[in-house]
Amino acid sequence: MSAFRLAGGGAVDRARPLAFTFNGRALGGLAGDTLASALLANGVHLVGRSFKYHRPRGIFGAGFEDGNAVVQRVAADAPANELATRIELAHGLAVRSVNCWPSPRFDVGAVAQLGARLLGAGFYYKTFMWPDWHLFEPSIRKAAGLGTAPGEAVDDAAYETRFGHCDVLVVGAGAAGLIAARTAARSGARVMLVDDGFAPGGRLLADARQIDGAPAQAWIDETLGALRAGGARVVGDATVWGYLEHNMLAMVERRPGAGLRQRAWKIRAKQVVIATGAFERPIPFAGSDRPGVMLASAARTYVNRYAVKPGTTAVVFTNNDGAYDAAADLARAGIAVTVIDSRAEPPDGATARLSGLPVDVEAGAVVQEALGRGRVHTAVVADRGGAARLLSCDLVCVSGGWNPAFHLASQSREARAVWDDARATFVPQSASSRFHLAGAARGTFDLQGCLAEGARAGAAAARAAGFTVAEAAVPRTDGEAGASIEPLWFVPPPSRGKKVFVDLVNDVTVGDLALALREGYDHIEHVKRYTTAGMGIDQGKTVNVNVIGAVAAMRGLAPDAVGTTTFRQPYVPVEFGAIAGHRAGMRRTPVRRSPMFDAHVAAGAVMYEAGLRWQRPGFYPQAGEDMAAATAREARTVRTGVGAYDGSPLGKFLVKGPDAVRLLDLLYVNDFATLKPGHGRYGVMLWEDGLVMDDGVTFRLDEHSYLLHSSTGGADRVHGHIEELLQLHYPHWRVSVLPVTSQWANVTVCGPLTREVIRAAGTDIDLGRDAFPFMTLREGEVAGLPVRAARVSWTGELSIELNTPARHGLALWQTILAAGKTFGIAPVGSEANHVLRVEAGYISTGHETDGVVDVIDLGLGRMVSKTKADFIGKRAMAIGRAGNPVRRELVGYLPADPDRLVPEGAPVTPQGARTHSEGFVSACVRSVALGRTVALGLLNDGRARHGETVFAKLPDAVIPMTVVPPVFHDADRARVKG
Amino acid sequence: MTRYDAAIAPLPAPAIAELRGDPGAARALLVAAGLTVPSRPNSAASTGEREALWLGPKRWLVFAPAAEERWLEAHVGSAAREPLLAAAIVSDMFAGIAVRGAGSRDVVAQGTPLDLDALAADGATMTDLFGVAALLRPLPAPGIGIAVWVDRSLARFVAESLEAANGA
Repeated sequence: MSAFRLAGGGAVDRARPLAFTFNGRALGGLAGDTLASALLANGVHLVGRSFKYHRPRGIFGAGFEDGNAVVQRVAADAPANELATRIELAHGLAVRSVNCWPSPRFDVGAVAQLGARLLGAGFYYKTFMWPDWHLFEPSIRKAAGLGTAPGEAVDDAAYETRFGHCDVLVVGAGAAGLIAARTAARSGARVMLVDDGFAPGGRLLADARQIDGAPAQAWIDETLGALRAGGARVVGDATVWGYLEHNMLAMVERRPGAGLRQRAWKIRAKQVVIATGAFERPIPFAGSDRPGVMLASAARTYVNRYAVKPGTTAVVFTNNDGAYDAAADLARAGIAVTVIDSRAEPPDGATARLSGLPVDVEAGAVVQEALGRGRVHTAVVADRGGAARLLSCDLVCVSGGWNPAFHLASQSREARAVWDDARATFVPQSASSRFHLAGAARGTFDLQGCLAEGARAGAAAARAAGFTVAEAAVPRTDGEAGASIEPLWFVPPPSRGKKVFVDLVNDVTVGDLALALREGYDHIEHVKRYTTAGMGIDQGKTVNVNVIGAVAAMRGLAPDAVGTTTFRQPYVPVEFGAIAGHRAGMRRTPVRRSPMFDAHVAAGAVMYEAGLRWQRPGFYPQAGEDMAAATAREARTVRTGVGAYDGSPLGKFLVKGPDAVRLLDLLYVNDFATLKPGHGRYGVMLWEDGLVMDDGVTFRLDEHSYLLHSSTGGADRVHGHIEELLQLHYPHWRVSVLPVTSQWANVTVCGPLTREVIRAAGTDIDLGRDAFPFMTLREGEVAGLPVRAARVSWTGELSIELNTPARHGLALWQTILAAGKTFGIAPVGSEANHVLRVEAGYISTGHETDGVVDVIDLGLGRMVSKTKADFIGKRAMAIGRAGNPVRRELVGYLPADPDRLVPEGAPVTPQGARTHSEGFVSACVRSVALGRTVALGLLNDGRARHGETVFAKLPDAVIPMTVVPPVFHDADRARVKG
Repeated sequence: MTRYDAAIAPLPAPAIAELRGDPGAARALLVAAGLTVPSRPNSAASTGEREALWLGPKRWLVFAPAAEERWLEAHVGSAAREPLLAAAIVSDMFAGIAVRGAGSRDVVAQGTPLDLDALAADGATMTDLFGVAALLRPLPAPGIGIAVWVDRSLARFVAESLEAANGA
């Protein structure tokens, strides 16, 4: 047992010693320890170096309030910036200091302290502006900062993200939270109790209190037992870090077991009880950042909960009553204690807590400075007259009062911070119907009051969630010191040049605050941003009220006149992995696969997403082929023989009802009333602004039924558009839309030998030109499989789409390829399809539609019905054209160099000058029909400029191109209709 | 070894028909087919092995054994003659995945914001699961678990996501 471990008491298991290393040094601790308590038990106070000045830093708190003792586990995938106070000791744990080299005791970076006068707040804004901040940024960032990002990616299986639901969410399992949860659970409500400690109990675990005449632990155990027996979910070592809209709360659960590092929760709660306690705040003075200076509540925690003496001779520096109980507990643990109270006359109720204990109290004095290097060895104590004396000590405990932790209420936007003179802090004020504040989070600092408020809040929450419950009887507690306080925001340094750190995490001094004010940053939000006070790991837990108080003191204002800053999310560090969960790789976003997906992969297809999450084959490379060669071969095969592609992703909708044609006539620019059953028509639909939304072929199945096809990528957009029309604008129309995309697999056979292949597969459909003309639909069988065959084309060749129920898709695909073998059939991917459609001059939404073109610009003006009264976009299109007579029209481009590919999106500018564009290239391919590169694009007044030479402007070249009509193959559509 | 007490497996493919359109016409058609009409939204009603699911103001699904697809076509697909309803056999459009076991809710809750405790024994509700539309139903007693029905094209993605959520 180490010299600093108490022989008895605490919640550590002396029968279970644990070995760990710190900076390579072998040390021992006990089960139940945190890394911080184990280090203190070994006499280790110097933990690392500070963010900016590389000053020695030690253990300042006992939980999340300590942003000072930052460490990093020795592992390639260790997260950065863990707190020693928040690492549960485990056998074999290996941890190192951060921001120091070669060691925290001898740190080369400490040279920064020599130039500290030049490194005040915002120094980099002023001193590294010329010639360019980015020249200096890397080295400044390297010198500053704390931990390092993991060197290796963490396995995504180490994280989980999930949703949770409850009637009453109780945040905080201290006295108020425990009794609130129990009261709410008694009503039958689904209760979730969340606590960020390693064990529930909050300050009850640290303060050695009595409840109903027994140690508080017995009451905690009994309450937890009742909660669990009643089905409540109790989640420990978890922090609710964000209060979002509609009572959605974000929570992170650390090391929840089963090999998980973190589990992120999104909790939807009907009601919330916020019982998050309070953080003790320090009193900054010169050297108050040294190891050996810590919060009084933390020292009390180490003594009572971990049975560790954080020192042997302590000075307790306070401005309030609460620290007297801490002083008493330290004294009972055998620590020599002197209380320095800044108040002239501490109340009798406070000093009485020290009755019978060998503790000296010096009132009306302050600790002016802590002396020491790796650890404090002397406190400089000054009385009100300025006379100073030295007190030898190895521990200085500070208590400047308590800050309610009401960050969740603040984030809800239903609470505001109100200054309370009596408690010398901001307390939350809220009339929210969604949450209930209880206990120290509400500014109630006595245990009896916390219990009463918790019981009330639990009952109120249950009732508001729709349950009936009576308030629980509130147990009785033992006595405690009073709550009297006299604010003290910082102690001026004994001499100029001595720094008084108000924010230990970011190395922000009182002098930095004064500098910000001098430079005009007098709004508290500006002070925060200029100095970074309250940012980073601390997130305002211990720092903010001191900053506000110090600014108030310097400006001669009351703290409430200074105002408060905003509590941001997350309140504690959350690993990115926890937010992502297992959504990595192919599970990152949804992936859609056609029934033939595996066959494409087996055939060696290169797969990629090609619209609306569909994985489609891009090309099927054969031995020795690259993408260009495979694409050319596939496209050539379609032009000269026959190919087949998987068209399953194409959007398909059954539109039915007496008003179906009315809907189609509203959606499309062209006329559908004249369409006969069994026939199809290509249509273009516009947005309300007159611009092109989507295109596709619609077949009429019978009198009231139509099969509407959208583009693959536009299917959801089109469906949403139609549903909006029918649900919001025309709910009285008798028409329904039923999406059937995935019901059907689609094998499209294309090329001059299409009919031969389908006949070879065996079909009862007459495929003859007259029997099955272009833009008609037939039902029958192919190879014994039911099909709905459609004569449409997007390739500029004879093409028949074979649609079959998805269960038959793979069989149909394999049958067609087998039947086509003797005809030299090739499976065709999206790349070859792109070549074929560009050659044929077919538009592709997203390529030729760029958000400024309308249907007439695309050369499809003849489709626009002149007889229909209206269609969506008609008026806007007319207005747009009237207001902008210079139109960008679809044209073809032939690059002067027939081998030159022009990047898609390349601007066309007058003479290739660096000026406003007059058009752009929307697609450029190596045409197998023409044996050269061809392109489509949009050009101002393009249709009147055929034959003209225009210029694509690239960053490194200007490419001359001849403007031609936008169809390079089968201009009269003889092959398509043949 | 999985993180939760749950097993994930595909469900046998049933015959499924979908109805959209006028609620009165839909109820009349279901009754004429001898089916029990669900009494409240997001619930199912059984008639033997056939079930009608009410999923939205104007949306119903009918599940029947796979062998009864012709029956379904004849009785529900007969809506083809009813101008106020759109109906189609969509057996191929859905794929079912069973998440069985005491840990099934912990697995499914990783993908859906739905309150699974509120999913009644006859519940049938569309929701979001791992970013895609899904129909969730409790597995029939005596099994414990949840049946997940998704668009066929997304079935493998959802199954893999459920396996990952289970810690497989």
